[in-house]
Amino acid sequence: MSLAVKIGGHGMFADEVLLLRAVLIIKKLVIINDWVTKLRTRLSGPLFMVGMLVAAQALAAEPVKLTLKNNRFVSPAVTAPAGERLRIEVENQDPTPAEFESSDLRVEKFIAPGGRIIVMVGPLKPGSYKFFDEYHPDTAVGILTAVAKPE
Amino acid sequence: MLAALLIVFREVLEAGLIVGIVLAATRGIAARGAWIAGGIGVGVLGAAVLTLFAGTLSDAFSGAGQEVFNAVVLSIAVIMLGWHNIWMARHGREIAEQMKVVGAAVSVGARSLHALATVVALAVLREGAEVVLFLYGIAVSGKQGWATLLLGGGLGILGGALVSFLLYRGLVAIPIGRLFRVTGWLIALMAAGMASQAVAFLVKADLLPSWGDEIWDTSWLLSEGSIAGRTLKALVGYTDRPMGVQLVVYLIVVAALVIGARLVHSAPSTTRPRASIHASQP
Repeated sequence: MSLAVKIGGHGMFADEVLLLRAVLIIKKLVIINDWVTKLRTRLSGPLFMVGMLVAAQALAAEPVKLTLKNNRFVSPAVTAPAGERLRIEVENQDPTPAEFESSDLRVEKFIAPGGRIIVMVGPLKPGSYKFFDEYHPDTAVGILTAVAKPE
Repeated sequence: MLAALLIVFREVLEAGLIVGIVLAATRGIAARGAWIAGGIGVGVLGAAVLTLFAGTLSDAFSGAGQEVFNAVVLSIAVIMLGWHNIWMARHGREIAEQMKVVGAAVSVGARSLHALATVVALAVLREGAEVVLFLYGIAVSGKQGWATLLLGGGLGILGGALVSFLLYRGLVAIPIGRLFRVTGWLIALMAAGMASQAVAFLVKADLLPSWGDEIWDTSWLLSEGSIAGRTLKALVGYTDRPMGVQLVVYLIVVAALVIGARLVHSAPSTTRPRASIHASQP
Protein backbone atom coordinates (compact mmCIF):
# COMPACT_ATOMS: atom_id res chain seq x y z
CA MET A 1 0.00 0.00 0.00
CA SER A 2 2.80 2.38 0.88
CA LEU A 3 4.41 1.51 -2.45
CA ALA A 4 1.25 2.44 -4.30
CA VAL A 5 1.20 5.76 -2.53
CA LYS A 6 4.81 6.42 -3.50
CA ILE A 7 4.41 5.44 -7.14
CA GLY A 8 0.93 6.74 -7.81
CA GLY A 9 1.14 9.84 -5.72
CA HIS A 10 -1.57 10.92 -3.35
CA GLY A 11 -4.09 11.98 -5.94
CA MET A 12 -4.04 8.75 -7.93
CA PHE A 13 -4.31 6.60 -4.84
CA ALA A 14 -7.28 8.64 -3.66
CA ASP A 15 -8.99 8.23 -7.03
CA GLU A 16 -8.60 4.48 -6.85
CA VAL A 17 -10.08 4.39 -3.38
CA LEU A 18 -13.03 6.49 -4.53
CA LEU A 19 -13.60 4.26 -7.56
CA LEU A 20 -13.42 1.17 -5.38
CA ARG A 21 -15.89 2.71 -2.96
CA ALA A 22 -18.25 3.56 -5.80
CA VAL A 23 -18.10 -0.04 -7.05
CA LEU A 24 -18.74 -1.31 -3.52
CA ILE A 25 -21.70 1.05 -3.10
CA ILE A 26 -23.23 -0.14 -6.40
CA LYS A 27 -22.75 -3.77 -5.32
CA LYS A 28 -24.38 -3.01 -2.00
CA LEU A 29 -27.29 -1.28 -3.73
CA VAL A 30 -27.85 -4.39 -5.84
CA ILE A 31 -27.78 -6.52 -2.70
CA ILE A 32 -30.19 -4.14 -0.95
CA ASN A 33 -32.50 -4.29 -3.96
CA ASP A 34 -32.62 -8.10 -3.77
CA TRP A 35 -33.04 -7.92 -0.03
CA VAL A 36 -35.94 -5.47 -0.19
CA THR A 37 -37.69 -7.55 -2.87
CA LYS A 38 -37.22 -10.71 -0.77
CA LEU A 39 -38.34 -8.95 2.37
CA ARG A 40 -41.40 -7.64 0.60
CA THR A 41 -42.47 -11.07 -0.64
CA ARG A 42 -41.67 -12.67 2.69
CA LEU A 43 -43.42 -10.01 4.71
CA SER A 44 -46.39 -9.57 2.42
CA GLY A 45 -48.30 -12.35 4.23
CA PRO A 46 -47.79 -11.20 7.83
CA LEU A 47 -47.95 -7.55 6.83
CA PHE A 48 -51.26 -8.19 5.16
CA MET A 49 -52.59 -9.67 8.39
CA VAL A 50 -51.27 -6.76 10.43
CA GLY A 51 -52.65 -4.38 7.87
CA MET A 52 -56.06 -6.01 8.10
CA LEU A 53 -56.02 -5.75 11.86
CA VAL A 54 -54.38 -2.40 12.49
CA ALA A 55 -55.05 -0.30 9.44
CA ALA A 56 -57.60 -1.93 7.20
CA GLN A 57 -58.19 1.37 5.47
CA ALA A 58 -54.61 1.42 4.18
CA LEU A 59 -55.27 -1.57 1.94
CA ALA A 60 -58.81 -0.72 0.97
CA ALA A 61 -57.84 2.35 -1.05
CA GLU A 62 -58.20 2.27 -4.82
CA PRO A 63 -55.15 3.87 -6.47
CA VAL A 64 -55.52 7.34 -7.96
CA LYS A 65 -54.41 7.12 -11.59
CA LEU A 66 -53.07 10.15 -13.43
CA THR A 67 -51.78 10.42 -16.97
CA LEU A 68 -49.56 13.10 -18.48
CA LYS A 69 -49.97 13.71 -22.20
CA ASN A 70 -48.88 16.71 -24.29
CA ASN A 71 -47.53 18.18 -21.04
CA ARG A 72 -51.01 18.19 -19.49
CA PHE A 73 -52.85 15.95 -17.05
CA VAL A 74 -55.48 14.07 -19.07
CA SER A 75 -57.96 14.33 -16.18
CA PRO A 76 -56.77 17.26 -14.08
CA ALA A 77 -59.51 16.99 -11.43
CA VAL A 78 -59.62 13.77 -9.41
CA THR A 79 -61.30 12.78 -6.17
CA ALA A 80 -60.08 10.34 -3.54
CA PRO A 81 -61.27 9.20 -0.13
CA ALA A 82 -59.98 11.22 2.84
CA GLY A 83 -58.66 9.62 5.99
CA GLU A 84 -56.82 6.71 4.42
CA ARG A 85 -53.45 5.96 2.94
CA LEU A 86 -53.54 6.74 -0.75
CA ARG A 87 -51.60 5.29 -3.65
CA ILE A 88 -51.07 7.65 -6.58
CA GLU A 89 -49.90 6.31 -9.93
CA VAL A 90 -48.70 8.74 -12.58
CA GLU A 91 -47.97 7.71 -16.12
CA ASN A 92 -45.97 9.98 -18.39
CA GLN A 93 -46.95 9.35 -22.01
CA ASP A 94 -44.80 12.21 -23.31
CA PRO A 95 -41.36 11.83 -24.88
CA THR A 96 -40.12 14.45 -22.37
CA PRO A 97 -39.29 13.87 -18.71
CA ALA A 98 -41.60 15.17 -16.01
CA GLU A 99 -41.53 15.73 -12.27
CA PHE A 100 -44.73 15.06 -10.38
CA GLU A 101 -44.77 17.66 -7.65
CA SER A 102 -47.15 18.85 -4.98
CA SER A 103 -46.27 20.87 -1.93
CA ASP A 104 -49.80 20.21 -0.63
CA LEU A 105 -49.21 16.45 -0.81
CA ARG A 106 -45.48 16.72 -0.07
CA VAL A 107 -44.46 14.84 -3.21
CA GLU A 108 -41.61 15.53 -5.61
CA LYS A 109 -40.83 12.68 -7.95
CA PHE A 110 -39.13 12.42 -11.32
CA ILE A 111 -40.87 10.53 -14.16
CA ALA A 112 -38.83 9.38 -17.14
CA PRO A 113 -40.24 9.83 -20.66
CA GLY A 114 -42.82 7.07 -21.08
CA GLY A 115 -42.33 6.10 -17.45
CA ARG A 116 -44.69 5.46 -14.58
CA ILE A 117 -44.29 6.18 -10.88
CA ILE A 118 -46.14 5.20 -7.72
CA VAL A 119 -46.19 7.33 -4.61
CA MET A 120 -47.88 6.90 -1.25
CA VAL A 121 -49.54 9.88 0.47
CA GLY A 122 -51.94 10.59 3.28
CA PRO A 123 -54.10 9.82 5.15
CA LEU A 124 -55.46 13.16 3.90
CA LYS A 125 -57.87 15.54 5.56
CA PRO A 126 -60.90 16.46 3.44
CA GLY A 127 -59.95 19.32 1.13
CA SER A 128 -58.30 20.11 -2.18
CA TYR A 129 -54.67 19.42 -2.99
CA LYS A 130 -52.91 21.01 -5.95
CA PHE A 131 -50.36 19.08 -7.98
CA PHE A 132 -48.32 19.87 -11.10
CA ASP A 133 -45.48 18.82 -13.37
CA GLU A 134 -42.55 20.92 -12.24
CA TYR A 135 -41.10 20.99 -15.74
CA HIS A 136 -44.36 22.30 -17.24
CA PRO A 137 -46.01 24.17 -14.37
CA ASP A 138 -48.00 26.47 -16.67
CA THR A 139 -49.86 23.67 -18.50
CA ALA A 140 -49.66 20.49 -16.43
CA VAL A 141 -51.66 21.35 -13.31
CA GLY A 142 -54.38 19.49 -11.46
CA ILE A 143 -56.33 19.24 -8.23
CA LEU A 144 -57.00 16.22 -6.06
CA THR A 145 -60.07 16.54 -3.86
CA ALA A 146 -60.14 14.40 -0.75
CA VAL A 147 -63.70 13.59 0.26
CA ALA A 148 -64.74 12.27 3.66
CA LYS A 149 -66.41 8.86 3.47
CA PRO A 150 -70.07 8.75 4.44
CA GLU A 151 -70.55 6.84 7.70
CA MET B 1 -34.93 32.08 -18.51
CA LEU B 2 -36.36 33.09 -15.14
CA ALA B 3 -37.64 29.57 -14.47
CA ALA B 4 -34.22 28.10 -15.23
CA LEU B 5 -32.53 30.74 -13.08
CA LEU B 6 -34.81 30.14 -10.10
CA ILE B 7 -34.62 26.36 -10.15
CA VAL B 8 -30.86 26.23 -10.66
CA PHE B 9 -30.41 28.86 -7.93
CA ARG B 10 -32.54 26.82 -5.54
CA GLU B 11 -30.68 23.55 -6.09
CA VAL B 12 -27.22 25.15 -6.08
CA LEU B 13 -28.12 26.97 -2.87
CA GLU B 14 -29.23 23.74 -1.20
CA ALA B 15 -25.96 22.00 -2.04
CA GLY B 16 -23.97 25.21 -1.49
CA LEU B 17 -25.17 25.66 2.10
CA ILE B 18 -23.81 22.21 2.90
CA VAL B 19 -20.49 23.02 1.19
CA GLY B 20 -20.29 26.34 3.10
CA ILE B 21 -20.76 24.66 6.46
CA VAL B 22 -18.30 21.90 5.59
CA LEU B 23 -15.70 24.48 4.56
CA ALA B 24 -16.15 26.35 7.83
CA ALA B 25 -16.02 23.12 9.84
CA THR B 26 -12.73 22.11 8.24
CA ARG B 27 -11.04 25.45 8.71
CA GLY B 28 -7.40 24.96 9.58
CA ILE B 29 -7.08 21.46 8.17
CA ALA B 30 -4.44 21.17 5.45
CA ALA B 31 -5.50 20.15 1.91
CA ARG B 32 -9.18 20.67 2.65
CA GLY B 33 -9.61 22.77 -0.50
CA ALA B 34 -8.46 19.93 -2.74
CA TRP B 35 -10.65 17.37 -0.99
CA ILE B 36 -13.77 19.49 -1.05
CA ALA B 37 -13.21 20.53 -4.67
CA GLY B 38 -12.74 16.82 -5.41
CA GLY B 39 -16.03 16.11 -3.65
CA ILE B 40 -17.81 18.69 -5.80
CA GLY B 41 -16.21 17.25 -8.95
CA VAL B 42 -17.22 13.68 -8.12
CA GLY B 43 -20.72 14.93 -7.30
CA VAL B 44 -21.09 16.68 -10.67
CA LEU B 45 -19.83 13.59 -12.51
CA GLY B 46 -22.13 11.39 -10.47
CA ALA B 47 -25.09 13.65 -11.24
CA ALA B 48 -24.40 13.36 -14.97
CA VAL B 49 -24.18 9.55 -14.74
CA LEU B 50 -27.24 9.38 -12.51
CA THR B 51 -29.41 11.27 -14.98
CA LEU B 52 -28.52 8.71 -17.67
CA PHE B 53 -29.97 5.99 -15.45
CA ALA B 54 -32.84 8.04 -14.01
CA GLY B 55 -35.46 5.90 -15.72
CA THR B 56 -33.87 2.61 -14.64
CA LEU B 57 -33.44 3.87 -11.10
CA SER B 58 -37.06 4.95 -10.97
CA ASP B 59 -38.28 1.45 -11.87
CA ALA B 60 -36.05 -0.30 -9.29
CA PHE B 61 -37.51 -1.57 -6.00
CA SER B 62 -40.90 -2.02 -7.69
CA GLY B 63 -41.24 1.69 -8.52
CA ALA B 64 -39.77 3.03 -5.28
CA GLY B 65 -36.21 3.32 -6.62
CA GLN B 66 -35.98 7.09 -6.27
CA GLU B 67 -37.14 7.02 -2.67
CA VAL B 68 -34.78 4.19 -1.69
CA PHE B 69 -31.86 5.84 -3.51
CA ASN B 70 -32.48 9.20 -1.81
CA ALA B 71 -32.85 7.55 1.58
CA VAL B 72 -29.58 5.63 1.11
CA VAL B 73 -27.68 8.72 -0.07
CA LEU B 74 -29.02 10.80 2.83
CA SER B 75 -28.23 8.06 5.35
CA ILE B 76 -24.62 7.81 4.17
CA ALA B 77 -24.33 11.60 4.55
CA VAL B 78 -25.79 11.41 8.07
CA ILE B 79 -23.26 8.75 9.09
CA MET B 80 -20.35 10.76 7.63
CA LEU B 81 -21.50 13.98 9.36
CA GLY B 82 -21.97 12.14 12.64
CA TRP B 83 -18.56 10.57 12.35
CA HIS B 84 -17.00 13.97 11.69
CA ASN B 85 -18.69 15.51 14.72
CA ILE B 86 -17.51 12.79 17.07
CA TRP B 87 -14.03 13.03 15.58
CA MET B 88 -14.05 16.81 16.06
CA ALA B 89 -15.07 16.40 19.68
CA ARG B 90 -11.75 14.63 20.16
CA HIS B 91 -9.53 16.75 17.91
CA GLY B 92 -11.27 20.12 17.57
CA ARG B 93 -9.49 21.79 20.48
CA GLU B 94 -6.16 20.37 19.37
CA ILE B 95 -6.62 21.84 15.87
CA ALA B 96 -7.74 25.21 17.23
CA GLU B 97 -4.76 25.42 19.61
CA GLN B 98 -2.25 24.39 16.97
CA MET B 99 -3.69 26.96 14.59
CA LYS B 100 -3.30 29.69 17.17
CA VAL B 101 0.35 28.72 17.64
CA VAL B 102 1.34 28.03 14.05
CA GLY B 103 -1.08 30.45 12.42
CA ALA B 104 -1.47 28.10 9.48
CA ALA B 105 -3.23 24.92 8.45
CA VAL B 106 -2.42 21.81 10.46
CA SER B 107 -1.96 18.38 8.98
CA VAL B 108 -4.19 16.40 11.36
CA GLY B 109 -7.70 15.68 10.20
CA ALA B 110 -7.19 14.04 6.82
CA ARG B 111 -9.59 11.23 7.79
CA SER B 112 -12.32 13.66 8.74
CA LEU B 113 -11.82 15.33 5.35
CA HIS B 114 -12.62 12.06 3.56
CA ALA B 115 -15.94 11.86 5.37
CA LEU B 116 -16.86 15.46 4.65
CA ALA B 117 -15.73 15.29 1.01
CA THR B 118 -18.15 12.36 0.66
CA VAL B 119 -20.95 14.48 2.16
CA VAL B 120 -20.19 17.26 -0.34
CA ALA B 121 -20.13 14.80 -3.24
CA LEU B 122 -23.50 13.32 -2.21
CA ALA B 123 -25.12 16.74 -1.80
CA VAL B 124 -23.88 17.89 -5.20
CA LEU B 125 -24.95 14.56 -6.70
CA ARG B 126 -28.55 14.89 -5.51
CA GLU B 127 -29.09 18.55 -6.34
CA GLY B 128 -27.00 18.35 -9.52
CA ALA B 129 -29.10 15.50 -10.88
CA GLU B 130 -32.23 17.59 -10.34
CA VAL B 131 -30.69 20.53 -12.19
CA VAL B 132 -29.65 18.37 -15.14
CA LEU B 133 -33.04 16.65 -15.38
CA PHE B 134 -34.85 19.95 -15.16
CA LEU B 135 -32.73 21.72 -17.77
CA TYR B 136 -32.96 18.67 -20.02
CA GLY B 137 -36.74 18.69 -19.59
CA ILE B 138 -36.96 22.32 -20.68
CA ALA B 139 -34.45 21.88 -23.48
CA VAL B 140 -36.21 18.92 -25.12
CA SER B 141 -39.60 20.60 -24.88
CA GLY B 142 -38.00 23.11 -27.25
CA LYS B 143 -39.73 26.19 -25.88
CA GLN B 144 -36.48 27.88 -24.99
CA GLY B 145 -33.21 28.12 -26.84
CA TRP B 146 -29.98 26.74 -25.43
CA ALA B 147 -28.54 30.24 -25.02
CA THR B 148 -31.25 31.53 -22.68
CA LEU B 149 -31.21 28.22 -20.82
CA LEU B 150 -27.46 28.36 -20.29
CA LEU B 151 -27.62 32.03 -19.29
CA GLY B 152 -30.39 31.35 -16.77
CA GLY B 153 -28.58 28.30 -15.43
CA GLY B 154 -25.28 30.16 -15.21
CA LEU B 155 -26.83 33.06 -13.29
CA GLY B 156 -28.54 30.55 -11.00
CA ILE B 157 -25.22 28.86 -10.23
CA LEU B 158 -23.55 32.22 -9.55
CA GLY B 159 -26.38 33.35 -7.27
CA GLY B 160 -26.43 30.09 -5.30
CA ALA B 161 -22.65 30.10 -4.95
CA LEU B 162 -22.66 33.73 -3.79
CA VAL B 163 -25.17 33.11 -0.98
CA SER B 164 -23.23 30.02 0.12
CA PHE B 165 -20.00 32.03 0.10
CA LEU B 166 -21.62 34.71 2.29
CA LEU B 167 -22.67 32.03 4.77
CA TYR B 168 -19.10 30.72 4.83
CA ARG B 169 -17.65 34.21 5.38
CA GLY B 170 -20.13 34.79 8.17
CA LEU B 171 -19.12 31.56 9.85
CA VAL B 172 -15.35 32.04 9.59
CA ALA B 173 -15.69 35.49 11.16
CA ILE B 174 -16.31 33.56 14.39
CA PRO B 175 -13.07 33.15 16.43
CA ILE B 176 -11.55 29.73 15.77
CA GLY B 177 -11.97 28.52 19.35
CA ARG B 178 -15.73 28.99 19.20
CA LEU B 179 -16.12 28.24 15.47
CA PHE B 180 -15.92 24.47 15.88
CA ARG B 181 -18.60 24.50 18.56
CA VAL B 182 -20.89 26.45 16.22
CA THR B 183 -20.19 24.22 13.20
CA GLY B 184 -20.60 21.19 15.47
CA TRP B 185 -24.15 22.26 16.26
CA LEU B 186 -24.86 23.21 12.65
CA ILE B 187 -23.66 19.81 11.45
CA ALA B 188 -25.66 17.98 14.14
CA LEU B 189 -28.86 19.77 13.09
CA MET B 190 -28.09 19.31 9.40
CA ALA B 191 -27.51 15.57 9.93
CA ALA B 192 -30.76 15.27 11.91
CA GLY B 193 -32.61 17.09 9.12
CA MET B 194 -31.15 14.73 6.52
CA ALA B 195 -32.11 11.70 8.61
CA SER B 196 -35.68 12.98 8.92
CA GLN B 197 -35.83 13.51 5.12
CA ALA B 198 -34.48 9.99 4.62
CA VAL B 199 -37.26 8.41 6.68
CA ALA B 200 -39.84 10.59 4.91
CA PHE B 201 -38.67 9.00 1.63
CA LEU B 202 -39.01 5.53 3.14
CA VAL B 203 -42.56 6.33 4.28
CA LYS B 204 -43.41 7.42 0.74
CA ALA B 205 -41.97 4.14 -0.54
CA ASP B 206 -44.25 2.36 1.94
CA LEU B 207 -41.29 0.81 3.77
CA LEU B 208 -41.84 2.63 7.08
CA PRO B 209 -44.95 3.68 9.00
CA SER B 210 -45.54 7.45 9.28
CA TRP B 211 -46.66 7.49 12.95
CA GLY B 212 -48.93 10.40 12.14
CA ASP B 213 -48.92 11.98 8.70
CA GLU B 214 -49.13 15.58 9.85
CA ILE B 215 -48.16 16.31 13.44
CA TRP B 216 -48.49 20.05 12.90
CA ASP B 217 -48.92 22.49 10.01
CA THR B 218 -46.82 25.66 9.89
CA SER B 219 -47.13 26.15 6.13
CA TRP B 220 -49.10 29.37 6.79
CA LEU B 221 -46.06 30.75 8.63
CA LEU B 222 -43.26 29.46 6.41
CA SER B 223 -43.94 27.29 3.39
CA GLU B 224 -41.46 24.51 2.76
CA GLY B 225 -41.51 25.38 -0.95
CA SER B 226 -40.36 29.00 -0.51
CA ILE B 227 -36.69 29.93 -0.80
CA ALA B 228 -36.51 30.65 2.94
CA GLY B 229 -38.28 27.36 3.70
CA ARG B 230 -35.93 25.41 1.46
CA THR B 231 -32.91 27.12 3.00
CA LEU B 232 -34.05 26.16 6.48
CA LYS B 233 -34.80 22.65 5.22
CA ALA B 234 -31.24 22.25 3.95
CA LEU B 235 -29.73 23.77 7.11
CA VAL B 236 -31.80 22.30 9.95
CA GLY B 237 -34.31 20.01 8.22
CA TYR B 238 -37.33 22.32 8.43
CA THR B 239 -40.60 20.67 7.39
CA ASP B 240 -43.90 22.55 7.51
CA ARG B 241 -45.97 19.39 8.04
CA PRO B 242 -43.74 16.78 9.70
CA MET B 243 -44.62 13.12 10.10
CA GLY B 244 -44.36 11.53 13.54
CA VAL B 245 -41.53 9.24 12.49
CA GLN B 246 -39.57 12.26 11.21
CA LEU B 247 -39.71 13.97 14.60
CA VAL B 248 -38.63 10.81 16.41
CA VAL B 249 -35.65 10.23 14.09
CA TYR B 250 -34.67 13.91 14.24
CA LEU B 251 -34.53 13.89 18.03
CA ILE B 252 -32.67 10.57 18.13
CA VAL B 253 -29.94 11.83 15.76
CA VAL B 254 -29.46 15.13 17.63
CA ALA B 255 -29.34 13.29 20.97
CA ALA B 256 -26.93 10.64 19.64
CA LEU B 257 -24.53 13.26 18.24
CA VAL B 258 -24.62 15.48 21.33
CA ILE B 259 -24.23 12.58 23.77
CA GLY B 260 -21.62 10.90 21.55
CA ALA B 261 -19.52 14.06 21.39
CA ARG B 262 -19.78 14.51 25.18
CA LEU B 263 -18.67 10.94 25.84
CA VAL B 264 -15.67 11.22 23.52
CA HIS B 265 -14.80 14.62 24.93
CA SER B 266 -14.84 13.52 28.55
CA ALA B 267 -12.70 10.43 27.93
CA PRO B 268 -9.83 11.60 25.70
CA SER B 269 -7.17 9.18 26.94
CA THR B 270 -9.12 5.95 26.34
CA THR B 271 -10.18 6.84 22.82
CA ARG B 272 -6.87 6.09 21.18
CA PRO B 273 -6.43 2.33 21.57
CA ARG B 274 -3.77 2.03 18.84
CA ALA B 275 -1.58 4.77 20.23
CA SER B 276 -1.83 3.46 23.78
CA ILE B 277 -0.94 -0.10 22.74
CA HIS B 278 2.25 1.11 21.11
CA ALA B 279 3.06 3.35 24.01
CA SER B 280 2.57 0.62 26.60
CA GLN B 281 4.90 -1.81 24.86
CA PRO B 282 8.34 -1.89 26.47
